[in-house]
Amino acid sequence: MYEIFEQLLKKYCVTPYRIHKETGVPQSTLSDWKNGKGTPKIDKLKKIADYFGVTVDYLIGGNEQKESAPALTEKDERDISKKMEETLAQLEGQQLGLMFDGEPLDEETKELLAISLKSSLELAKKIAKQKYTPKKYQKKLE
Amino acid sequence: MHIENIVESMCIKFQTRNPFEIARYLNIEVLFEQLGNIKGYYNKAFRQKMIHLNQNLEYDDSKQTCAHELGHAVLHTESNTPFLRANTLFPIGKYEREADYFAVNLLYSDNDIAEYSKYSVPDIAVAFNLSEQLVAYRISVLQNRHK
Repeated sequence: MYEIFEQLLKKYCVTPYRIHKETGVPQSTLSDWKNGKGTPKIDKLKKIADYFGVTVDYLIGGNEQKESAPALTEKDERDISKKMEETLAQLEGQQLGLMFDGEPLDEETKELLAISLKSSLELAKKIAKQKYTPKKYQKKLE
Repeated sequence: MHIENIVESMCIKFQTRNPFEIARYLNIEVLFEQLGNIKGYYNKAFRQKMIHLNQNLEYDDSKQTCAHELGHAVLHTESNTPFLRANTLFPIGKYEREADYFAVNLLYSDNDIAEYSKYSVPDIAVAFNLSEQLVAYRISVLQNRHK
């Protein structure tokens, strides 16, 4: 419950005071919540959830899923791997430049980087799909 | 437009100097990941901008890195995969330098710097955990503004 709220605070680097300022939820409600003297009422939880862009369900310890992201099709997967290769090639090119300073990346970092790039591309594709697909085509995707 | 002016207008627009919050207002995804020796990097794919930060960083460090990467996101939108290396004291190239300028302008307001103005540049550098060159740059910005 409060732990999830605390995680969100940390993630977005905001303070309870800021939440109070932006949403109008009294600070006392938040501190009561923290100290286990009670939980905010549903209308306040809604305001907090809206502020973080999560569902009330998630805030009270429910589902992880924030919003249903469209699934990736085969074509999207192809796009991603193509982009991935492109980026890695760019990276290799840059590596040579970086070597001059005598500080090349070690293998482990490189691997971690590749993983992070892959996941970021997938995420970006999903977001872009949701954001930039015209409304009239959105139904076809489902 | 100079970097310091871009930063100031952004701070006024969003009413905050917190790089994480600004990133959120600009719809830039900030992700915490395992990144080994790298502190963080910025990339843009499929029209979505993203800042990646090493999850092992301390709060102050991740804030500094986030500000730096935000600099890339704002100033060099299209340049993909510019990396911040383990050692920020010797940034390479124009882009890294500009991103660093962006970061110091964002993280330290004029008032912060003015408060420390009676100390010497190396002292401030140690206090803020920055390179002397960056501090000297930040002070010159402050002086130019008062002219």
